[in-house]
Amino acid sequence: MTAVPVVALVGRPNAGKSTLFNALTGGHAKVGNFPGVTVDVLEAVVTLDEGSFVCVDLPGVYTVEGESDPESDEGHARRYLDRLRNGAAPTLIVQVLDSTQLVTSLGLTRELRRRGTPLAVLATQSDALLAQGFSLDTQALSQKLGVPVVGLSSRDADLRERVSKALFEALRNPASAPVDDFDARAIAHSVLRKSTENEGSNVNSRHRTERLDAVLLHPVLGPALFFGVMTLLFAAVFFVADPVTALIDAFNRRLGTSVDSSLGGGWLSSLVVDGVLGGAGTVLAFLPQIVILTVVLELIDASGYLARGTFLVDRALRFSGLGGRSFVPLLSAHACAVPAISAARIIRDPGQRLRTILVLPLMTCSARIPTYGLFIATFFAAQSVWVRASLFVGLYGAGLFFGLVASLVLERTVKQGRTAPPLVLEMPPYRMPQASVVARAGARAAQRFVRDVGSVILVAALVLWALLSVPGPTPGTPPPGASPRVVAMHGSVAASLGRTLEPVTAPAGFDWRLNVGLLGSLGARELMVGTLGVIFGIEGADDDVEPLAERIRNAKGPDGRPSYSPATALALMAFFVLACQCMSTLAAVRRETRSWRWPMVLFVYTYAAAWLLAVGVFQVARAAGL
Amino acid sequence: MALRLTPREAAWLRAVGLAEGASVTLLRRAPFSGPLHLRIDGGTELAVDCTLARAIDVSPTAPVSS
Repeated sequence: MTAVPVVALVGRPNAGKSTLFNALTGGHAKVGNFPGVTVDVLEAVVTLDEGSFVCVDLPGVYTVEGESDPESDEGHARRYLDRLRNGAAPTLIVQVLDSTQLVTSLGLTRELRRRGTPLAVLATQSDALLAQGFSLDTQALSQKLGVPVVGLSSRDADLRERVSKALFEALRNPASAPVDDFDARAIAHSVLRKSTENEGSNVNSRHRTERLDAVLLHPVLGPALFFGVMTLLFAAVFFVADPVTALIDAFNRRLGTSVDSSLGGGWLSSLVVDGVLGGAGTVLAFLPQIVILTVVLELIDASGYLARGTFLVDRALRFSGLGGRSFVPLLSAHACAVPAISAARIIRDPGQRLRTILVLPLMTCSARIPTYGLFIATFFAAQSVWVRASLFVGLYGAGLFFGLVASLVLERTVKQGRTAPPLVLEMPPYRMPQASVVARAGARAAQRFVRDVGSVILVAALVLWALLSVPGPTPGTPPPGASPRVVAMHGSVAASLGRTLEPVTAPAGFDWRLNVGLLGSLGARELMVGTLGVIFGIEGADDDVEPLAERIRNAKGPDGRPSYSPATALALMAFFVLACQCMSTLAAVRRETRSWRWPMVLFVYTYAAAWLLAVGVFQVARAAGL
Repeated sequence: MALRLTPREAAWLRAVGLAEGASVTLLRRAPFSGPLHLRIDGGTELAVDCTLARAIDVSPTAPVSS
């Protein structure tokens, strides 16, 4: 019984591998056990009348020889191909080759042929080639290369049938006789024929790309449009995130009500409702933003615009000790730092990669937005919408600003490798993104968020619940006539910890209640609003219609004076800008850097800087009369 | 086109498309010594750092209608 044959799709990035893979497998792929770098390695079984094979979509690579960083796409692909070569299953390597980039693609063909594994070539974009006035003589190319060559266009109706037939044929008659080395340019010249076959229905993607680039990479218009696109991106997240804050608040209030109504349930009921459901609810509330940002990023990437963005920002990023390739991780960190840390693998220089990883937690991730939203609503509701919007924009800008500053400082202090190597990046032709590919990326991002971040949030929520429920050493000073529940909360371990921290946080305007919130968000920022809801909500349990913002505004200290002011809000938000309040991020940094040193450095430097900034902002704001 | 780089860097450049004998068209440059936007062999387009580009020797060819 022979093993099921394996067909590995290999090719340069943007050659059309994923589109082809989708067409072949009908979208029933599962993520293989072999993790990719920038994309997962997808596997699926393709079954037709002639039989079955496992189709594997490897990440796009420029080379499979030479010294490749084992962590790069090239390193992963090479290891996978080596494993296939040493395995028992019959193997076919299929190079997906962009016909409009024949010369450069043939370099990879040369390397793949040298491996000795049976090879076949699928030449895609034949319609784009026609639109440029050429056609590819696949027979001639096949003869010169000594491997089967099939010409395709993604528009072909019978794509799946033609490709499967060709693959089964190649599996039956593997062509692996070593052929002498070849001259890519000479071969390309001999197999590309001038053609007038284009019925005019094929858009010349080259012309379209040139025309678009003339605008999008215009010296003045380019950066302006880029700034506009980025603003739209973040505005999209904000408009989703704002109702999320309301959702979390409403969710917590409803839960608080149900706990009150089942007071007889005792600690178990509280554990389930406050701890488990509260934590899980928080995780679910953040999924929409994660998915939306991932989808938009995928769209920008698949369309080809992301490479243009990288081109535009490379110079500015190099000034801060980073480089163009840091752009994508820094951008995705605005959704969530955890996948962005993995995305940093596209940075080829170890020093630049480390610096990027250490500063991207400073980017304004979606988890910070509910806290910003809450405090802006609490203390700046009376201001015009422009003031409030500017505050948000300012906070986003602050994250980016401090990130770049931190990178500069790290470059001077942490010596790890030489300065960033020069940028060499492919600029693909503009293409219409494929909806199914983008949608699948969004779904995978949601899965990963729930698995990597959601689990941590849940655990942190439970720990926090315990701290708020278990009695601590001192009873605190609950307000006179408080309910037993409020008294218990004032005397809890969390409250004691919060009070212990007061001398440290008082210069920043925080009291023990905000400290408990900060302790809670040590695990995950997402818990801040919910924790504050519990602390303030419990105190005002009789009046649960009042929103959290109102209760925070009216909160008073033991002497009866208001506990907080706009200055407090600014200081707290300043703290949130910098502090790495995310166990998931620290875990991801540990995974990527394979040491405990860097997550600790990240934790210490961000918290120290956050405290300094919060104190500074509070004192200045106070002095300014806020 | 001769490249004065480490062997590893040169190998990467060749893999991406900047190999000896390639025909190169300069499409634009980003301001303030930013990267160059090049078209290689009439097909692949690359963004290349300007200091790197200085290490690459090119010789002019007759104008190609591409």
